[in-house]
Amino acid sequence: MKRVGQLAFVVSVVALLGGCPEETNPNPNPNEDLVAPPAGEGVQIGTGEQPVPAGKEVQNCFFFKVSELLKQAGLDESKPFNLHRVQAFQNDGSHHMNIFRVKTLTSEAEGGMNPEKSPYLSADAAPDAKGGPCFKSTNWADWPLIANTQIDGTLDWEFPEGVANKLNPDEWIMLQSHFVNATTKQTPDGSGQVLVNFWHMPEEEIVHEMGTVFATKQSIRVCQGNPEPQFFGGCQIGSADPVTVVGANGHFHSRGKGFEMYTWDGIATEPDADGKFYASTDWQEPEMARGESLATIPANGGVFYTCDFQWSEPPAPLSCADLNAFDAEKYMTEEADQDCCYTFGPQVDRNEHCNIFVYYYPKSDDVVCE
Amino acid sequence: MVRSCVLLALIASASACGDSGTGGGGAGGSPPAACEFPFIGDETAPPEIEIFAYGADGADYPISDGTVLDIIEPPQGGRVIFVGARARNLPGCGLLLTGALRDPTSQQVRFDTRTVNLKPDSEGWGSVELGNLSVYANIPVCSNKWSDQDIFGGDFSLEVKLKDKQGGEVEKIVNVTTACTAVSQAETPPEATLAGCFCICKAGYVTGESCEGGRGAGGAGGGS
Repeated sequence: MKRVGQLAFVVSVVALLGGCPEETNPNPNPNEDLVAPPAGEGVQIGTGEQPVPAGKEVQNCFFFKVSELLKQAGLDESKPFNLHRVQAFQNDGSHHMNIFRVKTLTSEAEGGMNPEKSPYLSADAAPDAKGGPCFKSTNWADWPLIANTQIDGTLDWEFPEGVANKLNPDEWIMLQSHFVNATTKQTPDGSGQVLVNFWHMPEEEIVHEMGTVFATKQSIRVCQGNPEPQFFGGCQIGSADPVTVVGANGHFHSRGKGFEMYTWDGIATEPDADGKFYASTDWQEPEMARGESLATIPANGGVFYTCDFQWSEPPAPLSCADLNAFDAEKYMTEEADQDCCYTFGPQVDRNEHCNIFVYYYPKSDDVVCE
Repeated sequence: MVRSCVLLALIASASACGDSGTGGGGAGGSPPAACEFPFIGDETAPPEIEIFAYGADGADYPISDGTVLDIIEPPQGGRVIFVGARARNLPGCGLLLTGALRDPTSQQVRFDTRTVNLKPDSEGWGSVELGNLSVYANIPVCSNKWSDQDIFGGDFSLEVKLKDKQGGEVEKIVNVTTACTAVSQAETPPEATLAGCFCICKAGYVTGESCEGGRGAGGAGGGS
């Protein structure tokens, strides 16, 4: 396993865990194992070592200003960063790493995050714990995806020739890191670290802008009395021309048994077997499908996705009573309807997800998911 | 608004049912067994289906041609209509319920599919658990990036299908219209909920458009 020991940063993280979020070095932990891009070609960002004690789930949010990243990369701070290649490293115990471009900000009074006060460190362990603002999905409900990985180790993905995701200098981006050291997943070293290299493409080489789709089916319930549920959903990409899918991965937790994606014409209500371009049965290390062309989505079509689950007993120390209590508090589910259900949410042991990540080109500004 | 009578038979029969298959997992007690509902009706007869909608007043209403369906804001934002089903001559466990609202001109559709159980009633039918919206089709109709007409007040085709694991299925298709309501499960104030509905459900809504008094298009995802 790759290790980085930078005591000063660890001390600063530990200090931050004990208090309120405050400003931090936006590039705290350059790493010799994942070599940073040379000046003028890209930039490395990271989380530093994040303590993940036994029994805890830790989800932290780190914000970066694109103009600062351009500066660190030795690039023109007044022009976009044209992301063409992503390298991402996570040590064992990672659940996911997502990078979003910041859009609508929920006010701090309503529990939102302020990029200027990054990082937001949210540790959650006890059954009644709620986590902090970095666990609150409504805080990034409309933030477009930039990159994600769910694997331990290193992802290295260079987009197809001429394809880049343009990040404007005045934008903020957020790196969200989730590590689990609980029952269904463990972080052996009690510490989680993420490093990401963003590689830049010169403007004149761009042929297509990359677009992304991030969907969360929030009405899912995986219940004891309905133990093998399936859920289908769709995302429409408003484009007068077909678009090409170049990357895809699905995301669920340990009750997830099968995740599939298909091209969709916006008309069918059943998946088209001939259009299947993604399948995963591994919740911990789901496949990150990548390619020059995984699929071609028809004009004004989209992605049809399916999630299959198998209910199981809550992992200790959780019980059905804990799940029911969460269901009652979060979703106001009446006692008669409580059924030891895993409901939508970020915490691996007590919640479930049915989320899709899709990368395509050319970009459309008009994407709607169900 | 067209309103038919409440499904008295449904409610009465449901309240008379036992709890043998689902629900009732009380905190701290023994959780209920997995679904054990029997086949409902006659295995040699063709499946039959009746459909109903969850209204803004919290009651269920049967759906037939001309019914007005209430548009409600769910917890994640956006807008949905909730459609349930009762049926017979089908298994009681593990059916796929699909609810879809289709624009009759463009044929574009918005749909939701989920696995449900049908609780037997005293009339030989089985129904999704009334009032439990997690077993209704949660059809996401807004934001409106899919229809050339306003979603509220527009003319649509509602398609509701039940499909069992053995391949048996039954479908009902009716012509309906829809209406914005001030009902929000996202704790949005009523005036803002209604204004937001008229904004994000209108024809020509543009993603990211500011909706006076209303929340945006919802948090179920999106992209660029």
